[in-house]
Amino acid sequence: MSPLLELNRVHFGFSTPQGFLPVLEDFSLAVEKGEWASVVGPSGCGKTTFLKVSSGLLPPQAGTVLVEGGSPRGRVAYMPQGESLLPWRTALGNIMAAREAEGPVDSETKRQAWALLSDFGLARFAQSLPHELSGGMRQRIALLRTFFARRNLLLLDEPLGALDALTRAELQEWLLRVWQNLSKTVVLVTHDVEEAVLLSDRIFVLTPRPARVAMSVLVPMPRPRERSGSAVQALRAQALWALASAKNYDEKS
Amino acid sequence: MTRKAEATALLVVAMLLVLWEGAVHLLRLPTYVLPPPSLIFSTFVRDFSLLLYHASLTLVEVALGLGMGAIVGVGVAVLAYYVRPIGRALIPFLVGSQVIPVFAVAPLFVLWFGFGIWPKVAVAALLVFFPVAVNFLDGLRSQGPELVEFFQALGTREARIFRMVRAPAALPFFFSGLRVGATLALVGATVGEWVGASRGLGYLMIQANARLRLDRVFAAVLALTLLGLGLFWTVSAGERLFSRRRR
Ligand SMILES: Nc1ncnc2c1ncn2[C@@H]1O[C@H](COP(=O)(O)OP(=O)(O)OP(=O)(O)O)[C@@H](O)[C@H]1O
Ligand SMILES: [Mg+2]
Repeated sequence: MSPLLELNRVHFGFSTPQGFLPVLEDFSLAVEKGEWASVVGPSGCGKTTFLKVSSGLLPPQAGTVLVEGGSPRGRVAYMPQGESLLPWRTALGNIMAAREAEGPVDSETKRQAWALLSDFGLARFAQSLPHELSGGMRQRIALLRTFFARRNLLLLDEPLGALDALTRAELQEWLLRVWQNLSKTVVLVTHDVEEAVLLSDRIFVLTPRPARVAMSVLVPMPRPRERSGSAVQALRAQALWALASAKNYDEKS
Repeated sequence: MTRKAEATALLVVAMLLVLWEGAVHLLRLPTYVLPPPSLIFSTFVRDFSLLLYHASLTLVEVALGLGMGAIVGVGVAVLAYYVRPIGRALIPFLVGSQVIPVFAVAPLFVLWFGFGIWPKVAVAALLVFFPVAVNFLDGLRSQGPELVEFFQALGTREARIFRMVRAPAALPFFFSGLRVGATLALVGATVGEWVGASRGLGYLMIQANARLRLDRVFAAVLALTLLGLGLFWTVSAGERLFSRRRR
């Protein structure tokens, strides 16, 4: 079976006033259906750019991007980095927007959105506007909205990046529960190696800009994983080491 | 505004009126130079039905001008947003339309649209569309990409993204343009009436001025002020209604 997401020798760069800035160089990876893949890399290396290329928002300048064997455009649910909820819509309205994106919705959709919110403990925030919610709640709503879109592949850009450590740990568990209930394929971009080890089946470690996959680490332990467990800590050390050596990659070669 | 702030505002207005009244009496100014507020008020009350007769037509012109100016303003902003070269090309015309003195275009409009309400509506619309277009365009351009990227990745068509995301996000900008436009529309309609009309507050002012009935001119100004305030509040109420609706 072919992978759900496949990038093959992708090149991408930005034209800036200072000249061409290569961001992705010879970038290849594959994510299988049903997998949770995480992508870690130093800040500014091109993680967001990788997701935008994978979702079809940015066209690759060389190489190919395939989602379910075809062009990615319209085939993925992408959660942008930062605040992306519609500020004038309630939590429920924002969730429904994922379906309204494709046409008029009926009361059945509204019922499903309700059910989704209450299944994951957010029923009492259904009528709240984003600015009335805490940062953690807003991210939960934005995550559920992404899950609510009818897409197999979800691309999440540092959804927990701006949260404090306690809230983040809480949301990691919550997100895992959501994923286990809704059978989707997830690509999670994060700068937190521990988060990647706790949640994913596979971790791709990127080099500094221009980014390419320096190493792919398999995480074989069953979930839920113990944060302080020795297997988690060992893999965390391995991934951190991979990240550190990827940083020196340029100097060595 | 809080109760206290409102009370203070009223007090300031009252003090200014008393000063005005006192100055007119002290300096023995004839009423054809500057009528005292007491005379303006009594004229306003005595001429109330006359003022109402003229104000009602002015209000119709202003409302039509405001509506048409808003539609054209939004249209121009959307065009300029999606077709950048057109946006650039339009700038000289937009600015040109605003630097021409209203007094210069009003007679032209009378020539083109006759003596009915349409030249007044046109002058009002001309003044309204500019702040609406500029503000709405600002509102469209000032949005970060995060709001739309979620939808673009899902493959949502741009027309739908505009309706679901861009337009509602720019709504507060539209309304601040419209609020500015509401008062400008009054100026436009009144000036239109000065040039050629047989009814309307502008016409009434010209007539009263020619007869040195300054008290009536000022009573008309008072009526204009009340109309302006009413429009301003109506637009604000419309904004509240719409921002609740877009949820
Ligand atoms: N629109 C753009 N035009 C020019 N350069 C850009 C643009 N967007 C991103 N870049 C540059 O490309 C590089 C990669 O950006 P990207 O946002 O993909 O990094 P990132 O890994 O997601 O960073 P972060 O960890 O801060 O989220 C950065 O150096 C950035 O400055
Ligand atoms: Mg990023």
